[in-house]
Amino acid sequence: MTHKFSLTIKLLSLSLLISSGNAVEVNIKEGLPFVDVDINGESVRIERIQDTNHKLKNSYTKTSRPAPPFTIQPFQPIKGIETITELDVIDFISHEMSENTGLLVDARMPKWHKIGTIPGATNIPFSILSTKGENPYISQIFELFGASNNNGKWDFSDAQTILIFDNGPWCQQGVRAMKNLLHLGYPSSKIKYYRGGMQYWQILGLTTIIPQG
Amino acid sequence: MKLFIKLLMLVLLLSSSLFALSNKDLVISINLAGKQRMLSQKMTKESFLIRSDIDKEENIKKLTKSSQLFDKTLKGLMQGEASLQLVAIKDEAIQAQLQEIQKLWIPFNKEIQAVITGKATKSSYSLLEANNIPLLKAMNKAVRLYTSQNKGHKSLTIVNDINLAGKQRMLTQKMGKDLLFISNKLKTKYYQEDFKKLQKLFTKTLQGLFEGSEILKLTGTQLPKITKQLKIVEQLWKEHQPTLNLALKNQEIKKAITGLDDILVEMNKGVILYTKSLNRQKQRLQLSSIISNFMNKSGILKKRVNLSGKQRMLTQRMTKLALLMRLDIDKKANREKLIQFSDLYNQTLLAFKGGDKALGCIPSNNIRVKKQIAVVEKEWEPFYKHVKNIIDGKDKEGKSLEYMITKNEHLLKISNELVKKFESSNRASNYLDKARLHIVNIAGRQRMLTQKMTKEKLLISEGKSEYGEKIEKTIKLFDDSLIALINGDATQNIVKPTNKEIKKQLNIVAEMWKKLKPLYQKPKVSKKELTLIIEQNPILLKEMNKAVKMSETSVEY
Repeated sequence: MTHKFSLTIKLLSLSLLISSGNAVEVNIKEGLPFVDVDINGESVRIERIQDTNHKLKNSYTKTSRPAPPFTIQPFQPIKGIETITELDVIDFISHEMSENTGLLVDARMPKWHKIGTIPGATNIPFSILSTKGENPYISQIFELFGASNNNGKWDFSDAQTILIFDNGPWCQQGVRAMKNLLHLGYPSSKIKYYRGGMQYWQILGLTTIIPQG
Repeated sequence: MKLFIKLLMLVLLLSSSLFALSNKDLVISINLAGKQRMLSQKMTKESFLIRSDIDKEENIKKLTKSSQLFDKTLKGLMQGEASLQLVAIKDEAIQAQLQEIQKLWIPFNKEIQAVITGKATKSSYSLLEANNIPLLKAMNKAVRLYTSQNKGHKSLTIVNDINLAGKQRMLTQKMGKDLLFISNKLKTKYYQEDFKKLQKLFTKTLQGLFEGSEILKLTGTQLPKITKQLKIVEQLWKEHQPTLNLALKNQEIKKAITGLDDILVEMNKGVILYTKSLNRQKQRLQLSSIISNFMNKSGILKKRVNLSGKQRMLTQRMTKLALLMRLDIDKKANREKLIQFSDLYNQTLLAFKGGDKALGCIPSNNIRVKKQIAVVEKEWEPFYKHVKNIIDGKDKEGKSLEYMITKNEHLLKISNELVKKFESSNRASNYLDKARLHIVNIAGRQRMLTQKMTKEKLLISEGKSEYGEKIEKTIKLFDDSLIALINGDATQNIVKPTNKEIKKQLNIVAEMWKKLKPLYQKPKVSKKELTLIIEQNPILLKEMNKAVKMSETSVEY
């Protein structure tokens, strides 16, 4: 309840910042036509496709995939990790990400990320967070998340909140990433899950980008 | 080659990072070293405000704070300071410059402390007036040296924007100081001119921060948050011009300096926004570099599984070619192929041991893999000699062919063990990653089976009826595996392909197999049918190989 209230306040204040001169037919929510995100020093606008007859034509229109492995994920696949909506993702981009206290993580394999992702997302494929054996990448990644290693023990007090997404409710890449992060000691309070993933993001006509480089 | 260049670049990056600050630490150092420039001017200004008896008590407090911060930051830049998140840099040039600054700072600070304690003399102020610019210049040189540490990241173009945005903070204080010098009648004309230059520079830099400037090497910003903050600065700056012009005539000094301080506060907010943006860019770049390194390694493993899988096929193909030569079928062409494929087997085996640029193979450090390579090598050595005997036409009595027929399946078996060892060296703990690698193995095994069944067919046609049972098993394995690859099979850890291209390729193989299978199954084939098998077999192998390559390079999720 408190979370929803604070989100409404944040989005309302965000919408007040955006001038009424930017009126569009398809808003993100009432009074909020778009949100700008800083990607490598360039501003990218997250908005919805304005053509009300627009339909998806890509693979995200597909309804059925072999399950397993592509089983439907529960609303909250991991206890303690908050599942969030598109509006929360947009709020996260506008606030936590712009303050560098949060990181939007595309947990899919790079091939998926390269063909389109949510603006501002950083690709950290779930497989790099493997918990099997000694993984040299973990310490490098955790340090970049802002965690500090004190004599082999990780201190996450200054670590960023990680918002994880994947292809959508049928995809297990994000869940794998979250399970691995938890196993490695990352606090559940600093992980969020956008279950809708790329499928719901695109179904709502929200902006996607092809990452550079 | 690309891989080696990437690895070399990584080694260079890692080695240079041993002496450099992390990106986050570097940004903090640039910002705080930049802030020191402003402090050098702020302290001078505050000293002269005290001398002019303007808000004396308040300015003594401010000067105490400013001088303590300058001192702490300087020590922090030199030795590290946890409370400021400063890490000492090991770069010799920067350390030498910081030493220079300290040499200037010690006498400068002595006079500042004299101002604070009310013991300042006329010469104290003269020293502050004379030395604040050398201190500023020395600090500016340090900032440039810190900024040059960023050379490795050409894409991080806003570094200079941050530097100059930071410099704007200093300009506000330098202008304030100039106004005080003017009001104290210290080189009035000189400081009036200096003030005007600073005024112009501030306006020009602010414009450059908005739109970019070739002269100032500014990229400009598109970021709404920064633009908004710069507009606040611009608004204040414009509104403050009449007051500043009056101050130049020794009027409204206090109001002018207060206004400049307000601009400093807003400019500082802008610098914070720039720094945050730069930190995001650097974090993204570093994560991207880690991911790319990881993906390269993951690709190497798939390459190894594919190449080792191909070795299995080659054991069967070489035997088949030797048999074709014995049967005098396309002897010359098959001899050429036998040379080519035996050399390839040998080259790949050597690549597993010592690496091979052309094959894109890097040696594995896995002990089990290394042991298995030694096992294969021991078996391969005599096998290769017999292959060469056949190639050189020295196998008149057929002993080398007999050796190949007897030993090829053992060589296949131990080559297969090597594939398994490579596959089990995979560190991935999840179902999909394991499955993906396993598919490369199973699809690769199909290539071998195409050669094995043809070899067996040839042996049967040579009267070796014991191969009848063997070929049945080979056909069944090929058949079952192809169905599993097309439809998926959880018991074999094979995921049904979702990639359109792979699906299409497997269907091509299935179509060919549908026509060839009855011929392989037929106990006795006519010469025409055997010729058809021999002709179609390399095509089937080629099509299967395409599917393996796709499995190696495509992602299946």
